[in-house]
This record gives sequence, structure tokens and C-alpha cells, in this order.
Amino acid sequence: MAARRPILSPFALWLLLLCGLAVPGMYLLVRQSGLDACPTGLNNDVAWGLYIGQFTFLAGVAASGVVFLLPFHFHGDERFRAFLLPGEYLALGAVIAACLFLLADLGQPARIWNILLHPNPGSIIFWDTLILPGYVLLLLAAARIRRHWREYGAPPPFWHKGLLTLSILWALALHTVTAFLYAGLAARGFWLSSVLAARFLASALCSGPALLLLICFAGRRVFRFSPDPEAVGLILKLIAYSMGLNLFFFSLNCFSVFYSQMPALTAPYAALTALSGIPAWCAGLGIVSFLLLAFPAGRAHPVLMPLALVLLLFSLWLDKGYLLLPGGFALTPLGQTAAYSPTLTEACISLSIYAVGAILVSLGLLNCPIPQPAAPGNPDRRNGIPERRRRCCPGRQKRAGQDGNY
Amino acid sequence: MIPGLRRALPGVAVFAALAACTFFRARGSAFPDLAPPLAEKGSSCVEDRAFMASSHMALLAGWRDAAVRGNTRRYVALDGRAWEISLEKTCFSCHTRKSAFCDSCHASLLASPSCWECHVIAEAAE
Amino acid sequence: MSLSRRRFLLLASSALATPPAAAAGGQYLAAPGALSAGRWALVMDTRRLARPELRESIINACHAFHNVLSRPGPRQMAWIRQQDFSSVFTDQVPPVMPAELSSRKILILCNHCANPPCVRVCPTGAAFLREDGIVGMDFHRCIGCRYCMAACPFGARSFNFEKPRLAAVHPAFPPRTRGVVEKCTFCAERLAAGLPPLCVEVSEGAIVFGDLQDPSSPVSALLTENFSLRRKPELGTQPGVYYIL
Repeated sequence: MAARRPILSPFALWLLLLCGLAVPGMYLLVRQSGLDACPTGLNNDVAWGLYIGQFTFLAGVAASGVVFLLPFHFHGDERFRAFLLPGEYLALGAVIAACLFLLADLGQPARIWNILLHPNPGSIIFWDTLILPGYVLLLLAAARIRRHWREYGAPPPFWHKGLLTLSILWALALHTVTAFLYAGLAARGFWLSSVLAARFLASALCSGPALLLLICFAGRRVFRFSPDPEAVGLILKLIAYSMGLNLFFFSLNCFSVFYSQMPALTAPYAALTALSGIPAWCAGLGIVSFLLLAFPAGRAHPVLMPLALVLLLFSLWLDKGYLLLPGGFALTPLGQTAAYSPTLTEACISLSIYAVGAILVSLGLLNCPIPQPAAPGNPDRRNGIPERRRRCCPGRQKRAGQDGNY
Repeated sequence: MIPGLRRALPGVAVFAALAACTFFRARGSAFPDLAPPLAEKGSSCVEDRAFMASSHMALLAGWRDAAVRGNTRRYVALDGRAWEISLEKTCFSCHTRKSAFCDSCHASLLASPSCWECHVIAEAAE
Repeated sequence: MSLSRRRFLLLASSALATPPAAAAGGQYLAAPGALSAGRWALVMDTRRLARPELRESIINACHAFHNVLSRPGPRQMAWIRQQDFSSVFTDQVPPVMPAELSSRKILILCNHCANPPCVRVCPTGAAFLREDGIVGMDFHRCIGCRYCMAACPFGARSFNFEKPRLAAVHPAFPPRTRGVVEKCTFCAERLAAGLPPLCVEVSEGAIVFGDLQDPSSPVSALLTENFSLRRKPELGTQPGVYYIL
């Protein structure tokens, strides 16, 4: 007897769940600007909180999306082919969600055009306003070119390589500029550190690929995803190295702060630790996940490796999304301690913006044909492309990445 | 011929019907006469009626930037009269009721400037 | 003449690039009797501000005129506040000091720095530095991003988390709406009318306001005769409010 097919596929159920998460928060977000009082946990001491924290975290995830471009396009490493499109769609979803978080945080969002009408080049927010939409445009342009290339077999235009170089540099610049939002403020000793930008990039380079790997493992059956195991191993090593660098940079920061014993630098740490025990959890989870990934046995283990990725992601989310912002404000200019706890409205709106980003990523992943290795009995199903649309110039296969097969 | 035109025609017809229905609903009604009543006090405004009708927002934007950012709080009008740049002290001293004056045009034109979020007219009869 | 689609689009889009209409209207001049200076500064003689009633009257005068609803709490709006010595001069508190001084309340407000970090970080120029040294605040342009609040080392700025519900609106100065940042403006509108700031007027001579670049101004006289402290000078913002202790 044949098994009954479910009415909705698991993917459709997943999209429904995301919509269910997104709708209440979106309603709250639209309603938020019309209310008489701002329904967040922010106050005059803690000016930025959950929204800007999520923006920072997602900017990092977005920046790491192009990290797979480097080995594939620049070094001709075929093993990373499978991660290119998922990485770009993750970056697209992340940067759009980051922009939504910024909009949710503004006090007068209708006036956002003032940034472009009356620009102040000395302000880092001005540069962020240019870099984020520019990144979206670059990603869309690259995806469009590749789609055109794939469908019609036309060779890529001569500026394709330049566009990819630009998007890699743009992604790194995006997160550096995000770090510059914080690292140049003399008023906030918690953030005033030259290593902050390096820490941001190191944590971005591990949080993005970790999230991507988890998505690809979870959606393995839906997307018919079968990456090169060597590539997975390489990415895990990249994650381990990046997390190690992140922890190392943090220890560098701690040395300067605690060896100099300047009150402007040490007092914010004391204030943050006094408010809650979460910093210890963040550090502990980070170290545990790094140790799990640092050893080949941990990377190869079918249970420990995803667990390590989850712990790593959670630790980095706590670091950027939950501790960075309140930590900067924990010591007020008057030397007092300021606590911050997000309200339910803030949590709902944040969850809904994440859901919107997840919808975009899911639809993108469903849309792009995930390449499969050419099966011996199925030569025409190469790369999921219907045969009539395969490339028309079989002789142009000089280097990896130039044959249009993604 | 344009390929696919025959298939597109029903959709075009639906769009045209939807777009035209607003005009059909309003047929026969006259456009409201946008002549706001004169101010309760004062004999004449900063500039003449025609200028104010067409450009009062531009004037106010110029006033805003001159007063707040440029610290130049004196306006010499086209006819040579000098005024203090202040909504509260200059404009509202004559135009004392928002509902009678400002809203009479704004309501029918669906213009809702955000000025009133801050610049309250003290005697506004809402 | 045949027009390719690409050419048509180019021509059509060039029609959008029209020059802006010339601004019509009259001239803008400085108000008669406006006070001007090279660098406005404020000197607070904290010894003469020992009475709580005097400090309260200064704070209430400023807040009443500018429609600042100052309800106590974490979201308290304040253009001028009073705090004790160790909160105001956080890194300059000696372990042993006169008891009266350590319990003396000091009025704090925006310092109108000469090198203001809030102006540097404002993305729209809503916080701007005037030539006479006042750090102005354009409530019309502010988008409420609160970057200036993160950048201000003195906690001088307040954000309108709520729409202010004032019992009585002082008509001369419009109240703000939800979503903009506000702070002391050294009563720029009163300076333009030839009047000193309200806190100076109500302070019975304890607060002195004048041009730092003018050697004959009252602030210069006071500062050459008395040693003064400024808040957090090591941060390089060059504050314009001096405290005589």
C-alpha cells in the first residue's frame, strides 16, 4: 500500500512557519511608529539595543557570503562550486534583514532620505547607507549575470571578473565599516579598540559559513544538496581558524584593557559582568565550540560537528547581537551602571525580521539549481539544467568557473 | 502584430476599468474652491496671496533653514517689509485657527504636512 | 526616423534631469540686536549654586520655556540636570576631598564642544557646529538614529521615546515630537533676540555667559581669575562649559 503523501511538503510547512513568525512582528513594526511611546527597552542611557545588535550580526553574516567566491573564482578551486549560490543567497537575505533592523530602530524612519539629501561624509552611518544597498545591487547583478549565462550559454561579459572582485572587497569593507560605527567613539571605552574591526571580520568569517553549513545540512534533502566532502572539510577548517583568530583577538583586547587598568577601559567590562552572567556563557561556548572544531575528530563527528556549529553560532550571536551594544552603554557618562533588557515587542519584531530574511534565503535556495555530480546512468541531468538550456559553447572550458555550470 | 496581444487584452481591459472607476465615482462633483478664508487678524500676509498659494511651503522651508541653521531670523519680503522668522510669533499671530485656515485646503488636497507634530497652534479648535 | 529602444530610454531619462526651480522670495538677514561671538562659553560658579531652590528654579525655567517634560525615570528628558561631583567629574575625584564639595550638586548641560563628536557622527547634519561655537540641533532633520547619543561623552542628549504630553505648551518654542534627539541649544533663539540664555538670567549671577575669544568678556575675566575644570578634557572634545569649584 503506498504511503499517503502529505498535503504540504516539508519545505512548504517551513515557509508557512516563517510566515507565521513574520506576520505578527511586521504588524508590530508598522504599528510601532504610530504609537505614542517607543515600545522598546531602550532609554536615555542605553541608546542602542537589540535591533542594532542584530544589524551588526547580520552585516557580518552578509559579509561572509562572498568568502566562497575567493577560492572558486580566484584560485580555480572546483570543490567550492556547490556553496557559491547558497552563500550568495544567504548574503542577500542577511543584508536585507540588516537593513530592516536599521529601519526598525530609527526614530523617524520616514526621514531616512535625509542621509542622502544632506550627506555628512564624516559620519559612518552615511557610508553604511551607501555600502549596504550597493552590496544588494552587486549580489543581484552577479546572480543575474550568472542566470543569463546559465540559461543562454552566453559567455560572461569582460567585466564579470571585476564585478566579483568588487563584491569581495565590498563585503569586507561592509563589515569593516560596521565596526567603524563603534570603534571610533571616544565616549565608549568598551568599543574604542583598534582590534574591534579585526574581531568583527574574524567572527563574521566563521559565523556566515557556519550558518551556511547548517542550512545546507538541514536542507540536504529538499535542495538535493551534495557538496564535495573535501569542501565541507575545508570550510570547517576555515571556521575553526576564524574562531581561533576571533578568540585570539579578544584576548589581545583583554590584555590592553586589563594590563593598562585604565578605568575608562576596564569599568565597562566590570559593569557588563555585574549586570548578568551572559558574558561568561558567551566566552565559554565560544571556547568549547572552537575546541570541538579545532580537532579533526570533532570536525568529522556526525553529531559533534553540527553541535559545535550551533554553539559557535550562538556564542557569536551573543557576542555581537546581545552583548556588544549594551556593553558599550553599560557604563554611563556619569559613571553609573545602565541595564538593558529587551521587551517582548522588540523580541517579536526581531524574530519577524529574521523570518523575513529566512524566507528570502529559502526561496533563493529553492530557486537556484544545486549542482549534482553527473551520475553515470543519468548524463542528461547534469547540474539540474534541462538539456535544451545547456551551454552552447562546449569548447570554452578553460578554467573552473568559466563554463557556466553552477 | 505584437505577439500575444490578444491574450493580453482582457487584462488590459480590467486594468483600464479599475483605473477609470475612480473618475466615474466622482463624476458630477465639482472640485472644491480652494480659497481659504482670510486670517482672523492682520491686514496682509508676509507675501501676497498668489505667492503664498503657490509657494508657502518653499517659503517656510527657507525660513526653517535660515532660522535654525543659518541663525538669520529676519526676513525682508519682496515688498520690503521686514518680519521675524517664527511660525509661532509671526504666522500664528494672525492665522490663529488651524481647522479654519490650514485644513481648509489641506484636507481636500490630502496634504498632511508633519509640521503640526511639533508646531502647535495654541488656539487650535480641533 | 527610426528610434531604437535604447535611444528612446536614454532620451526619456534625460528629461528627469531638470534643474531645480530657483528659490523665490525675499532676503534673509540677522535679527536686529542679535548677540554674536567668536566662541560662546559658559562659566558656572558652583559655589554660588549651593542652594537647591536656585538650581531647581534654573532647571524649571529652562524646561518650562523649551517645553521639556522631565519626568523622573530612565527615559527622563533633560536639557539641564544636577548631579553630584563624582558623577560629573568621573575621573577626577580625589580619594580625600572636602565633604561639602563631594556632596555639592553641580548643574550639567550640553558642553557645546569645539570638537564635538556628536556633530562628527550625525549622518544628516541635524547636529551641526555653528561658527559662534554653539552646537545646534535641527529637530526637523533628525532621523532619530541616536548615534549622537552614543558619541556624546557627557550624556547631554535626550531622545524623545514618547510623544510629550505637556499640560501647558509654552507658545514661543515648539515642543518636539517622538523620534528626535534634543539637547540644550544655549538658547539660540534668545541670543538672536539680544537676550542671554535662561539659565544665566535666572541664576542670579552664578552662571556667566560670554565670548571666550573676547578678553573683555565676563567669562574671560572670570576664567583668568579662577581656576576652572571642564568635564573629561582628555577626550579632546574641547568643552565650552567651565566649572569653578
